[in-house]
Amino acid sequence: MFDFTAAMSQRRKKPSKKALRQQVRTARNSPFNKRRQGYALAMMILLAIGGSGTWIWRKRHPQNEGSASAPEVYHRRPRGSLTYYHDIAPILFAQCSNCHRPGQSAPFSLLTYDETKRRALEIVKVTQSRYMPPWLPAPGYGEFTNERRLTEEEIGILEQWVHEGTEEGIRSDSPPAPVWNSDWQLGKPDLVVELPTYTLASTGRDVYWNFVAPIPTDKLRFVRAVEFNPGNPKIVHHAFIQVDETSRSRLLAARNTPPGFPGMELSETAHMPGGQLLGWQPGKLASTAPEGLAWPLKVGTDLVLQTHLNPSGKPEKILPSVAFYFTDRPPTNQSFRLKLTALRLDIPPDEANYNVTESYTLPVDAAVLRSGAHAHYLGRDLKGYATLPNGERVPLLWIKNWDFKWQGDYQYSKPVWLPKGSKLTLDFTYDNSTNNIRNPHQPPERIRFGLESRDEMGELYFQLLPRDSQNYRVLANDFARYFVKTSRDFFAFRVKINPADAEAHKRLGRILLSEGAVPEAIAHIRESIRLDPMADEPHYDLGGFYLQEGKLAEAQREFSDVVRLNPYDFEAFGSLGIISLEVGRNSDARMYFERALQINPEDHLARGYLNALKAGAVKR
Amino acid sequence: MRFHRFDKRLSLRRKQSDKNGRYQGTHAFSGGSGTWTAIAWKRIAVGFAAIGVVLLASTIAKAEVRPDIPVIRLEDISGQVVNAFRSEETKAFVFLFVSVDCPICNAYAPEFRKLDGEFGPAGIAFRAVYPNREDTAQVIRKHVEDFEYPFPALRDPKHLMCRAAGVRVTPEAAIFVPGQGWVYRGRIDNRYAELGDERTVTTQFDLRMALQDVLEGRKPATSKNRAIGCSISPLP
Repeated sequence: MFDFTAAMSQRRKKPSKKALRQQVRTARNSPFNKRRQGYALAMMILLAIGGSGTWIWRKRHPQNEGSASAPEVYHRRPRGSLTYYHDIAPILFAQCSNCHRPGQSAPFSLLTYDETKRRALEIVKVTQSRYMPPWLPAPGYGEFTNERRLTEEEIGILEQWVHEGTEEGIRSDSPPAPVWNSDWQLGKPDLVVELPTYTLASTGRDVYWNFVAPIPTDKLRFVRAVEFNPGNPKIVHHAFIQVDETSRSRLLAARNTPPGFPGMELSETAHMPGGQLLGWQPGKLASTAPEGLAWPLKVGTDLVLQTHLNPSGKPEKILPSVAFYFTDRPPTNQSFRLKLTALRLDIPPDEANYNVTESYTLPVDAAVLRSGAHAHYLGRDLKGYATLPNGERVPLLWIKNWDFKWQGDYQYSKPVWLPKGSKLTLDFTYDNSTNNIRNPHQPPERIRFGLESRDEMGELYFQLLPRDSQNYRVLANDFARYFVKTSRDFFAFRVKINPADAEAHKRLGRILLSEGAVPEAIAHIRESIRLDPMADEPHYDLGGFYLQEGKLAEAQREFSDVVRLNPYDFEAFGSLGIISLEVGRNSDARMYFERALQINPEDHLARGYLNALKAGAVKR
Repeated sequence: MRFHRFDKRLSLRRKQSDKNGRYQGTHAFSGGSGTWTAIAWKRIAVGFAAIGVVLLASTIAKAEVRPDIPVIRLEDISGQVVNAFRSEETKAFVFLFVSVDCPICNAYAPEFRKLDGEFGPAGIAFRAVYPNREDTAQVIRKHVEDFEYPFPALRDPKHLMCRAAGVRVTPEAAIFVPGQGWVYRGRIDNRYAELGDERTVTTQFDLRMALQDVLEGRKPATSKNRAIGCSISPLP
């Protein structure tokens, strides 16, 4: 991976006319252009290159579905025998106080007898309904570390204690009150990145806000752990930690004051590093990457922090920070983030039991380290499992009462080993009736896949560890092909059900272009332009294609359309510069590159050309 | 009289309180029209024992007491004891029972401001009532300021108002109409179905509908609704 980047930047240093055509192609692969490609194929292949690895598990740990333990039952204790110090404090200290203490996510503390007695009725109610502690995975279906789940026994003890009058008992029976690390769970960090403060308004619905900040490092680092500090833990409901090695996210963020941008959609260049699942939700304990799976952090990388915020009723300042823990030991392997997506969602109104499945067969052996699921407000029952080549089913994750607010990811207590040929399956059920109190549409409407919270989603994601880099490449390439194919089917489906869907035409055209189905692709992109004449992106797609084909006049026309529609597209200006160079209009080229740099001072490509022009390295 | 619909609840409450020892002291409210005078008498007896009956009578006569409006004396955030029903000409009183550390109460602050803005000018008097004794005057002052409550705030650590209105959780609302008594008690709207079960879209605005009914001279279509929130702390 690093060699490839180095090679790319070396090539950029000496632009000569001879290499221009080649550079045009390289430019399309440069990080600046990732957004345009839309499809992760190139990126995945890019990520797949590099890193020799070792297989870190020696043992297989197949888990059988239905290895269900006997149903738990609470055996009532002798009447009056339960006391706070002897029976209740141990449960609360172990399972509740991590959040229910001053300065943490929970609205009140549960550290003393008085605090507990005051909340006694609620404690019974919310533990019986299993709203608290918040832990979505169903028991017996995948085994996870740091489970925040009470046993029936514990819930029974709480209930009996409250209903028998919240007896205090003898203080000396109490376990010692827990002690927490003051700032960071993982100890003193090597680096802390503070994000720019954001103020959340008192009213309105929940907000997605994306923070962006540089990660200051002067050399390549290997990150073994990150820890998230929400800054205002009562407001931040969950967060996803991503990185962007390009300036894309930074530019998006710079449009607003304070820097940042709203919404669920990130730049396509933002990603979770090293195939990790770096999510945070209240109560989640920080963890360190398994041995050998540190991820490389390059100089100039930005932190992109996606947060889900809930208004409290008064304006709230959010100032999150992220701690980094480095190691000197380079990674020996790399995990792969595999995401199954239920793209073909089309949920009729009042349908209370809409089921969708999606599967992918592993081309290599791999171990599942973590998993997580995502849906919006209609999702109800989210299940994920693997089917081994011998037909045996391995349970991975089952969320029976999905709650968007408590989404997270879950680490298996032992990696779940899956041999080549195992099929991963997403099996989700949605409730689009009025009985679903979270239904955002009253009365219900027909709902399809989409990123906004009014739409619905279905995602099941895994942190997979292939045996080595060779296997990683096979997996990444195979999955990219699968992904492109399912995306193509999805957008074709969308075009079919709504021929006036400009976005679907554009995306379908893009995919067909990447697959070489040129006339069909161009027809779809043109249709997209016809349906939405103000969109600049389809013009960019066409421009890029014509440029590659050497059809400079056509390319020039398309890129001119782009900058007419979006005067801030530095890449389109850069492309116009390259075209001008090609045809020998050096002064035009210079103007275009200067414009690109004006918009994005970090457009190294444009700077390279401009310097070369100034140095006279490029001559007609 | 108007109290009959809460009788069942009050007696249920008494039973529970007996069992759990949550509510001690006398139960001034046995329902019926004697309720208000009973509580008033109790307070008055304690506070004005040294003062003569004549002086007492004249004090009340000078003050705001009307036969159709009860007297419940509570401390406001400046520490002064005032009658919760003290008011200019008012069509109805809305008591919003809240607590400083109840996230559901806090989430309703914008809605409270909106309701006050809409119904305040029409002659509806809003008051925040803090029934938890943990919420000191100082804490409440900060809370009122943070959440920008545009109406008076009162402390009710002895649960005089709680019991009069029959509320059990925060946030919970109770409407008192002079001449009619308590006409509504319960949730603000149906945003919360249970603790942890929140509607994405609120579909029924119970308090608002009740207030509209009151303004139009009707009795609210629904007189009570279960409120979801944090239990009011039991008396010691």
